[in-house]
Amino acid sequence: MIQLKNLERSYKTPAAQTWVLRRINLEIREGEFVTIMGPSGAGKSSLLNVLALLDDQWTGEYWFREQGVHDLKRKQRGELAKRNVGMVFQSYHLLDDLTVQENIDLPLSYKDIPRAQRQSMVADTLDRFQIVAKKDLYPSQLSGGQQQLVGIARAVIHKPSLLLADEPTGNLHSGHAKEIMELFRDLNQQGTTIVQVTHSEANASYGSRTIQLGDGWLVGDTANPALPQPTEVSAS
Amino acid sequence: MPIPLDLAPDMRVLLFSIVVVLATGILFGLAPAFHATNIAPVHALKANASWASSTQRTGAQWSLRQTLVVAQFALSLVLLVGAGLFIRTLRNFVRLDPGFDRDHILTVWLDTNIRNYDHGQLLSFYQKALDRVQALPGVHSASLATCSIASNCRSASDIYLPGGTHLAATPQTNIVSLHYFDNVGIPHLRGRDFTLADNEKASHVAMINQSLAREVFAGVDPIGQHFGYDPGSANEFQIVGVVADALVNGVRETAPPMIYFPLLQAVTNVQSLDVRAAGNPAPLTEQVRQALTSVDPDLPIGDLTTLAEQVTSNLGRQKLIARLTAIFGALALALACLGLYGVMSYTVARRTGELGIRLALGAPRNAVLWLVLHQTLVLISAGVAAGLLLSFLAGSTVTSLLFGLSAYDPATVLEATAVLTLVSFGSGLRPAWRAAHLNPTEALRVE
Repeated sequence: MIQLKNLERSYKTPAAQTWVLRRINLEIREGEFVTIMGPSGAGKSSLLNVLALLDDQWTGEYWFREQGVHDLKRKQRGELAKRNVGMVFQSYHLLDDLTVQENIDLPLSYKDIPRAQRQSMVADTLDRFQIVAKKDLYPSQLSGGQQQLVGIARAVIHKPSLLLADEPTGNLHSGHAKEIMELFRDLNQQGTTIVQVTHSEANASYGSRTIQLGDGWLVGDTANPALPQPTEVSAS
Repeated sequence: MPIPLDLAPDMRVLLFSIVVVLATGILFGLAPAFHATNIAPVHALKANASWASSTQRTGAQWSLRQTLVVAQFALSLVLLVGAGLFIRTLRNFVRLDPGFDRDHILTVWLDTNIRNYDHGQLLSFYQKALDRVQALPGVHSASLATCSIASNCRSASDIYLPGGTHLAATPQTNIVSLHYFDNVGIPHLRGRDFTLADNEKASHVAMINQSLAREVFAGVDPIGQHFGYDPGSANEFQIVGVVADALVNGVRETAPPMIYFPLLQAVTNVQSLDVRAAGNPAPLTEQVRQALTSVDPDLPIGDLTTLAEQVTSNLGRQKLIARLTAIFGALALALACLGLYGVMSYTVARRTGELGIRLALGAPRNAVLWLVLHQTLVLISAGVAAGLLLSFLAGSTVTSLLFGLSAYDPATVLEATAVLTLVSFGSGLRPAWRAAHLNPTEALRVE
C-alpha cells in the first residue's frame, strides 16, 4: 500500500539544518496494523505527518498504491489524502463550538457529498460508535474517552483505507485506552490499514508490526529483524 | 467669506492633543488588561486543549474588538459620504453656469475716486482706457461697471411704479458702459441694448434682468414701462431692454433682480474694467496694466483677476470643507483598514489550531480562505450598515452646506460604500491568505 524510499525530512534553522527523518525505507502492506515507537524526538510524529500527506517538505520517494506521491502537486496530494486517509490525534482536536455530529460531519463537508447522504453517513457512524445519545452534545460535555471516540468516528466516517493515529490514548486513562485500542483492532480486522504512534507497549501489542525510530533513523522493524543499524545513530 | 485657518503652533492645541492621546491610550490599553484579570485560571488552563471555530469561548473580548472595528467602519463611512457630498457640491458650484462668461474675462479693479476727476476728465479717461485696452492684441472687447461681477457689490434701492406703487422688490443696480452685456457674456433677451444716444441729454433709460421682469412685470411686457426711485418721479426711467439673469453676487446665491443704467447717462466712478480676451485672459494681465498706466500713470490700479478666479475665490468655504472631509475620510479609512487587518491577523493567530484541524481533515485552502474572509465581510457589512444609518441621521445637519444634491445622494453613498468595502476587503485579504496557506502540521502544534 505504502512504499517510502530514501525519504528524508529536515528543518532549516539559521544555525544549521536539523534532520528529523533520515533515509527512511519502509513498506506498509494493505491490512497491516503498524505501530511506530521510539523516544521523544525520534521522528515518529514527523513520519506520521508525511504518511498523512500533511507535510510536503520531504525528499525521496513516497508511493501510495503505485501512485508516486512525490510527483503530485500539493492540491493533488490533498485530494489523495481526503479520499484515503483518516487521522486521529492525541488531543482529539475536536472543534469546541460544534456538536458531536457536526464534528463528525466536518470531513464530509469538504467533499462533494449531498447533504442528505452526509446526514445518513453521520447517523450510521453515530450508531456504529454507539454515541447517538451524545450527538447534540459539545466536546466540553464529554469525557476524554468519549472525545477520542468522536475523534475516531470523525476519522473513519469517509471510510479511509489508511487510518493514522498519533498517540491516540495519550490523554486517556487505561480503561478508556483499552476501549479505543479494541476499536482500532476491530477497524483493522474490517480491513482498515492502521499506523499508530505510541509509547505504550500495551497499545503496541494490538498491532501486527512494530517499527522503531531513533534520531530520525529507522532502527528496528519486527517485520524485518535483519534491518541494518545506521552508523550515524550513535553519533547524532 | 474665507474661513480663517490659523496653522501656527498653539500650546493649548498641543496640550489638548497630548491629553486626548494619553487618555485614549490608557483607556484602550486597560481594556484587555482588565479583561485578562477576569479570566478564571481554570478556563485559561483549558483554553489550549481545544479550539473553537467562532467566538464562543472569548465572546466578551471578541465583542468589544468587533464593536470597535465596526464603529471605526461606521465613522469612516460617515466621513467618506461627507467627503463625497462636499466634493460633489464643490464640483456642482464649479460647473454651474453663472449666466456670464467667466472663462474669458479679466477684471481690473479701478479706483477713479482717488483721482478726483471732474466730469469731463472722467469721460475722457473712460474712453481712452477702453480704446487702449481694446487695441491690445488678444483683447476682444472691454467694458466698465460700477459693480464688478462676483465682488459682493450689492448696491440696491426700492423702486416705485407710476401711480406711486411701492414695490416689495429691492433690485440691485449697476451702471455699465456700452456693450457691457456682450462683453461679459450676459445674454440680451428683449428690447434694445444701451447706445451712444443714451447720454445725459437723452431721457433716462434702464435695462432689467429676467428676475425683476418676472417679479414686477409678471404677464406684462416690461419694455416701455417706467419706474423711479421715489413716488414723485416714478416715470423717471424707461425700461428699454431685458437681459438674462446672472449670478452676479456669487455662485452660491441666486440671481438677484437687477437694474442696469447706462454709464453715459450717469457718469460716475466705476469699480471695474472687464476685459474680454479671445482666449485665456490671464496672460493679458501685464499688458492691460501697462495700457491703463499709459492713460494715467497716477491712477491706482488694484488687483487684476480673471472672473474664473473671482468665482472660485468665493468658494473658499466649500473648498476647505471638501478638502478637510476628504483628508479625514482618507485617514479614517486607513485607520479602519489597519484596525481590520489587526483584528483579522489576531483572529487567524488565535484560530491557527482550528484552521490546522480543518486543513488536516481535508478542507481545501479556498474553503479556509473563505472562512476568514467571511468573518471579514461580516465586520465590513456591520460597519457599512451602521455607517449608512449614521450617515442618514447626520444628513440633515449638512443639508445647508450642500448644493445641487441631497444629503442622501444615492451615487455618493454608493461610491463611498464601494470605496470603503473594496479597500477594507483588500486589507482583510492578507490575513485570510495567510490562513489559507498555513502548514497544517505546524498549525496543529500551535497551542
